[in-house]
Amino acid sequence: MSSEGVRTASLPLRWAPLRALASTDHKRVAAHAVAVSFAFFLAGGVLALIMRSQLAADGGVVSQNVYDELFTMHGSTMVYLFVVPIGLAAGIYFVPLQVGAAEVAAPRAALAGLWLLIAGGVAMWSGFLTSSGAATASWWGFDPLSDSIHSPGSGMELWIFGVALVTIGQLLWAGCVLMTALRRRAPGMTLLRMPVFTWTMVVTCLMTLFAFPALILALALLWAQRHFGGVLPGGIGAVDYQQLFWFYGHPVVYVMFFPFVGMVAETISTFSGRRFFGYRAFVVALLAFAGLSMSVWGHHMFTMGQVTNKYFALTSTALVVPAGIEYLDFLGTLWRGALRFTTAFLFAIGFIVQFLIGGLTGIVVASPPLDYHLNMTYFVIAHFHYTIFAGSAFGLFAGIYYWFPKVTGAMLREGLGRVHFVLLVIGTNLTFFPMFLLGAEGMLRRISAYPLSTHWHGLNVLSTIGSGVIALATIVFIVNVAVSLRVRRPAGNDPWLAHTLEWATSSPPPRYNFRELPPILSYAPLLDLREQAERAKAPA
Amino acid sequence: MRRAAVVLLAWGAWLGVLTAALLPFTRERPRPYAPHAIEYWMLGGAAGSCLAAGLVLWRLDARRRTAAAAAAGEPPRLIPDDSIAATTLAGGLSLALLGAGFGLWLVLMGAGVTALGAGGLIRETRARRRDLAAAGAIGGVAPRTSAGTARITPAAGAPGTIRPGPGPGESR
Repeated sequence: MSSEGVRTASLPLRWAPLRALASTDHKRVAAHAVAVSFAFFLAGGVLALIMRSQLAADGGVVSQNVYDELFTMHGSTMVYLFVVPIGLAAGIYFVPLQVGAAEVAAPRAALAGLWLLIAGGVAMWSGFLTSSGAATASWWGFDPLSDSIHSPGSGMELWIFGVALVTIGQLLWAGCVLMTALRRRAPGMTLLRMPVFTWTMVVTCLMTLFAFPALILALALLWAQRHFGGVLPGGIGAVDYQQLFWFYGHPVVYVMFFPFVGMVAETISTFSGRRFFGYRAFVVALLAFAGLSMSVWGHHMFTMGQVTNKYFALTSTALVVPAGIEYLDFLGTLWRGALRFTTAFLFAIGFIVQFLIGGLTGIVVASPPLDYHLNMTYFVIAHFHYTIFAGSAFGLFAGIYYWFPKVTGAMLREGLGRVHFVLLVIGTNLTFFPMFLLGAEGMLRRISAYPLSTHWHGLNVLSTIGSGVIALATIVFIVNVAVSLRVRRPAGNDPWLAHTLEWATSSPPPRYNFRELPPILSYAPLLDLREQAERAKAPA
Repeated sequence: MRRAAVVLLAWGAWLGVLTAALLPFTRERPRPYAPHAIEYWMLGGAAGSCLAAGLVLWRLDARRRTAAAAAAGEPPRLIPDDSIAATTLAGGLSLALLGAGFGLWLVLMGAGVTALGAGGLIRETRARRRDLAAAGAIGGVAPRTSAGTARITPAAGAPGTIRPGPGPGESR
């Protein structure tokens, strides 16, 4: 039965158990995708803890070959199976709700995307079960490291096909979300009345649709090279593979970032009790930002001497302009707002502060002379993790604490949420800040041991302690979710006095999302209604 | 208004500008630091395909508006509740692709499952057409709610919601 009493079964009743696995309801597809992605996040996190143990002990926990498998599968899991899919899954869930649609566009494609994610993830991880072990050529899978001579066996094959399957699924999801935003909007929901999160998903999907095919081409060439040879010949073949890979590999960083910018924007707007400051400038900045992010891939190849360094340094540095506009809009929204320091809001502030560190160190590696010094060191690892973990993961948790009541109908515990936040801030900075120092001193990435004479041991121990604190924070979060679902505190339709359409329906939303919609006169229709009611109450 | 297509057209044009911005660097020396053909192809290809997608969307929207004007409203759209066929198709494609690394036997198995899934999708499409025809027979689109959604009754054998889309004069 649907929530509105309409019979919705298209499968015969005897197949009812299959309905959960074959449901095209965008909310169910997205919820499954989030659960799968989070499971992969936990698995990838365990790999990270083993790596950190190895570096704190300065070798001795695992061999170099196993260490190669660990960092390859950690990076691959976090990028291909966690951050990208969870961001797109948030779009699958919330974009139809935010634009007043009954369903996502092409729901069967969304369902197929979920199964491709599961199949791809299982394929990649099943490499651990093969005699040759899992892939060892890093999440980039660079040729010639990934060819049949240097990476023989089926582990690498499984990695190639796993990544290809997951990427095809992500292309399907991006198409669904983009078409929902562009073609399924409710009457009155013009483009410039779409919520900020929906706009961030639009640009995320644009980047996905026009950059990700390069990865599929690169993987196809890599597979052909492994089986037939001569496809990526000599040095120039390796450069071409990198060109193709990084044409995907830089936009994917923004695919792993923009959805969480949208979550933070919605969170701070709601908990400041204000409309989002500079909405139109923000939308233009997003589109410009996304376009620029397609044109900076060469900065990953500065030290190769085979790309147009000046062009890529220019475009990479130009990214600060739209990024600055976004930060200005965040601060403008907070300025003189009636701030409510909920857990979601704290995570949003954590994102704004910590991502700044990731962003500013990005300017350093966007400069070729500095990049020559820092390339392939732990400085790059620190920069990347400050953007994706200290940034995007905090944005994700802001979104989870903000939307959990809408998705489940139950409130998360604020007390446990604050403990989670404090532990995660401590753990994140303890883990990743020492890496800046290690990188500046020349510690290379992907090494499983280092000479004692380097005095890197102390900083590595500090970093490993931090990773333990992150694990503790994650356990607190899991306990919070379990407790909140077991002993439910009902959320009601709109517990936060939020602004956008998803809060105009029940929690969780019914099968077709809305029984009725309020008039849509701006990108904050619920705030419009509240302001209208206040004006009506006020004495003339 | 065809603003949906404008997003793609504007973004495609922006990528085109960024591709053209490579041109002033062609005199860069030594030669490896000047733009390579692959850089033009990749960024220019993304720009071109985005513009092409925008034009297709523009054309589709124009056709939809013409049809909507002729029929005084969009034709109803059914939403599926579940699709075993889509799941089967995804599973079949996964097996077939993995088979490229593990042998013809897996490719053939995957192809078989894919064919099963494709057949299921055709069956679902035909059932949807039948349901829509039945909906027309019992009076077609139900009254619109303020959400712009409407339903056909379970008696028609067709589950789901019909979205009539925007009415005349309403912009997308």
